[in-house]
Amino acid sequence: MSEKETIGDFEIFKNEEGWWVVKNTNSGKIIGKFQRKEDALEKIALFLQNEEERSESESVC
Amino acid sequence: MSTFSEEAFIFEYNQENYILDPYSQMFWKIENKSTINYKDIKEKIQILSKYGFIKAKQKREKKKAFAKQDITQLVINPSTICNLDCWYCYSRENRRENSSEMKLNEIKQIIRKFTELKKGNKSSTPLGISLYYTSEITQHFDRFLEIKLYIESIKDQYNFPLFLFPSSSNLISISKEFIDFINSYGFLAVSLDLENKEQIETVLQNIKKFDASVRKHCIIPLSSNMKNLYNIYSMFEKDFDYISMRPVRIAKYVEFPWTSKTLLDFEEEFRLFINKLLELDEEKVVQFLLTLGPSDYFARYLNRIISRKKYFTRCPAGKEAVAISSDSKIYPCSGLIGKDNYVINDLNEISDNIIMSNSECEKCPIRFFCGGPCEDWNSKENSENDSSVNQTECSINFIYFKSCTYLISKLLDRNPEIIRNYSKEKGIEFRLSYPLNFDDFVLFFS
Repeated sequence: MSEKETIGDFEIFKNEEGWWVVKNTNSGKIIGKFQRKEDALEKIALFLQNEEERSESESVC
Repeated sequence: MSTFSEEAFIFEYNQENYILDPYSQMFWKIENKSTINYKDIKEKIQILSKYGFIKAKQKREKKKAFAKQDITQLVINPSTICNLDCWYCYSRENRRENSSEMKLNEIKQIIRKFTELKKGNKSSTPLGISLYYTSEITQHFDRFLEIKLYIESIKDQYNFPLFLFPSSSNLISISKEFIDFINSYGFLAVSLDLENKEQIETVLQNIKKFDASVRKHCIIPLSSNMKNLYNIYSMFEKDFDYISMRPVRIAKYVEFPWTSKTLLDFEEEFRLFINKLLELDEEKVVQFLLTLGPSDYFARYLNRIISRKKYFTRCPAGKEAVAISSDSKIYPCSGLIGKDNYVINDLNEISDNIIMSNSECEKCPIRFFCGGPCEDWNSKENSENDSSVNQTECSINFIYFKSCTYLISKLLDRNPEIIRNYSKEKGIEFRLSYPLNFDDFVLFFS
C-alpha cells in the first residue's frame, strides 16, 4: 500500500492490488477505486466541486 | 482588487491575498509575498483547470421548479397606517400618496383568489400568508385576528398547508391580545430604528412583557452613518435571541445615502468590526455568530461562504411570491408597491416576466453568493429607464464577501473547530475542508 495523501475530507492511496483508492475520511467510505492516479484525483476534484447539494434555487431578501 | 483571468478573482483584505473560484465557490489564501506573482498563479490555475477548477461550467438548465401561478408566499398589505414615520421605510412614499385601506371582505376575497388558484392548479406546496408589511401590525391587530380565524375556517378545504405569519412590529404600542398571540405563537420580530431613541427605550421596556420562551428577533436597518457595528450588535443581545442588520434600500436623496464616500467609511467600519471579532475568545465568537438573525447580511455571506451554497436567483419575488397593496394591486414585492411599472396584471405572466437577474451579473465573481440584483433596491437607486445593476448594493456585497472570507480564513487558521462548531450549531454544511493554502491545494493535484 502506498503512502496516503490527504486533501480535506479525502485520502488517496494505492492498495495492495494496485488500485488507486479514494476514501472519505469523515464517513470512512471508499468512494472509488481507479487504475490511474489521475482518475482518482479527478474523482476528488468532482466531489469538491459537486453542485448538486450546493444548489439553492431561491433565496430570501 | 484585481482579476487577471476572467475566471479567477484575486483580492486583498487586511494585507492578505485570496483567490476565489467563482464556480466551485472555493477560496484559497495566497502565500504572503510583497507582490503577487501572477505568472506563477496563472500556471497553478492551469493545473487546477485540468480538473475543472476555476473554469466555467456548462450552463445550468433552467430549473422547472414550480408550475405557473404556484404562489407560495402571499404578502397582503391592507393598510399603510403606522404609528412611526421611519426615514428608511419602503412604504413611506406610498403612505403619503395612498391612504386607501382594504375592508375585511376584500382581504378575504384576495386570500380566496389565491387559495382557489392553487387548488385549481392541484398545487401541494404550502401557502404562507403575511399581513401588514407596509404598516404597523399592532395598529391593526383586531383585523389580523379576524383574518386568522378566517384562515382557520377555510384551511380544511385545501390539500395544501395554509399558514399565517405576523409581520415585524415596532413595539411602540402593544395590546394584551398581541402579547397573548405572540406568547402562543412563540416568535417575535421587532424592527428598530437606531435613530429613534424613544423607540429604543419603549422597545426595551415592552420586550419584557413577552414570555422568556418567545424567540425574539431584532431587525436593525443598517445605514451609511453607522459606527461601531460590534457595539450595535451587542447592545441588544441581552433582550433578543437574534439580531439582524441589513443595509437599507434607499433613494439617493434621503438621509444617510450610500455614496462613494460613505461606502468607504462603511468598509472601514466593517474592517474594525471584523478585527473586533478576531479579538474575541473562541467561545464568545461562536456565541456572537449564533446570535446573528435570519435576515442579517453579514451572516448571509458568512453562511454562504462556509457552506458554498450556490444561489441562482436572488429571491422568490414575482415568481413564487407576490405582494398585494392596499388598493388591491399585485406586485412582485412589498418594496415595489406604488411603482406602476411593476404591477402584475396577469397572474399567468408572473413566473416568466419578472426575472431578478441581469447580464452584468454574469461576469461578477461573487454572483453565486449573492444570487442577483434586487429589483427593489435598483428601483430606488436608479431611474426607471435604467436597468443596470445597483452599484451600491454590489459594493456592499463585495465588502461583506471579502471581510467574511478574511474572517473565516483567520478563524480556521486559529482553530478549525470554531467554524465547525458554529456550522454544526447553525445547521449549515461545512464545505471548506480542503487546504486553504493555494500552493498546498495545487500541489495535491500536481
